[in-house]
Amino acid sequence: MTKYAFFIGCTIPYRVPFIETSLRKTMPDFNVELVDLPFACCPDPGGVQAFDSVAWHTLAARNICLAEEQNLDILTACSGCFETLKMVNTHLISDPDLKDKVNEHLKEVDKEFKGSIKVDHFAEFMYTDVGIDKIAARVEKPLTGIKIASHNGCHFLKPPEIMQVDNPEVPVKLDHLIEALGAESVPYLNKLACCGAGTRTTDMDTGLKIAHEKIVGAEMAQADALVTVCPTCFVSYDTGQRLMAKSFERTNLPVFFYMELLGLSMGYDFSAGYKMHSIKVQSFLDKVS
Amino acid sequence: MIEESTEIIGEFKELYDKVKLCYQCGTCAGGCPVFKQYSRFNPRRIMEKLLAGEFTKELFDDQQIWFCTGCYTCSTRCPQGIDICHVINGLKNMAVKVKNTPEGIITEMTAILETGVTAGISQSALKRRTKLELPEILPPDLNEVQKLMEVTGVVAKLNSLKELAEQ
Ligand code: SF4
Ligand code: SF4
Repeated sequence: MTKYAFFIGCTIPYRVPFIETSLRKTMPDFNVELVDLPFACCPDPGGVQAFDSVAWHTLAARNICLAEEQNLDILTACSGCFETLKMVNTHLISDPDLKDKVNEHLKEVDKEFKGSIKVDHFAEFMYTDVGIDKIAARVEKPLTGIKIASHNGCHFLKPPEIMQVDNPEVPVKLDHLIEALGAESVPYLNKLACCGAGTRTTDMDTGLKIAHEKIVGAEMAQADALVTVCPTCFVSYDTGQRLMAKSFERTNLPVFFYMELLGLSMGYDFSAGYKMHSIKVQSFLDKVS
Repeated sequence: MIEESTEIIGEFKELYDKVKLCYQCGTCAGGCPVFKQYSRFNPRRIMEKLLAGEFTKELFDDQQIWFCTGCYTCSTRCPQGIDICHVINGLKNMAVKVKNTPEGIITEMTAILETGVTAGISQSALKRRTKLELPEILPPDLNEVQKLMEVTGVVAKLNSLKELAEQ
């Protein structure tokens, strides 16, 4: 078992806890022990960074210190947390002045950022450390004939020089992860588009419009579901479709977090969690079985 | 011009240095998901204003910069290698100093200050967690979070924003 400091973030445990179930159940099958630490908000790469960049670096560094103290690398379950923690870790390692400034603040709480650990995202871990073959070998109920619209989202891939996950213009890893389960990852309009979450804080309508366009694209490609690797994107599309229906043409596309789909294909019973989705997934489940 | 602040003028100079290579090609706007839906937000226009030294109230006052969703599409594609998303973030930091901050951001910062996390712990969330047999959430050390928000000046900024809202 490889131990990781499990960075669950705020969105998953409080808003979409069934995503947490999918991670906690499946990760041990791939030799990962998830260690919980009392992390605070990552904090949010949108709001907090926009409010005060130095405070954002400092609060993130405090979280990184908790993992450093345990000598554990961080595994994030949310792309926003991934961006914040990996970006701050990279900035502080490469910029001694900024590191000094942040450590000056951290002294107030008896902490010091050292730069001794790495930050990874669960999907990148599944692709690179576990590998497609090993995932495919665990599939018991292949999702044959199922069409999936893959949504990479922004923070998982960008800025590419920091995230170093995939080509931001032509990403392929998530498609391969989906196809490892026996499903088909279909091309669709606006595949690379953002989920719009960052704009919802300022203007709900514009944020929803951005998300709506993508759902329409996925439906036009006759996808059976949309799959995300970020809980915020998940909320934008799942709960989002309910909100969109008030202003735009109604859509009804089931949305899954990648690990839910993986668990499904491995034979896990996540039915208690599926019931908590905003967009009903029963018709999708019927197609699978 | 916005109220005099040598600190902000200094930051503006830094931002200007970052955008001076911009040749106004519009690639940033072309790929921007927000511009596509709401053309009043235009990253190329923001760069143009910065290039012209238009460090005016307008840049902050109509909340344009807050429409940026922070997706880094512009930064990834800019042929001049300008990190536009980062520049807009710098403008947002400056906007907070001149007290232009959307309500949603103030709410979020307040939540972190009071609980250490952004999404509050609601009863319905706890019920769902019980149903799913999930472990208890380890609470963060709130004293440390608050101390850091104090020494980095976040608390002071939040207080003055709230005072302004009450007026
Ligand atoms: S893409 Fe770069 S060079 Fe072109 S207008 Fe935008 S900032 Fe300027
Ligand atoms: S980072 Fe902001 S300005 Fe750049 S493309 Fe995304 S939303 Fe538009």
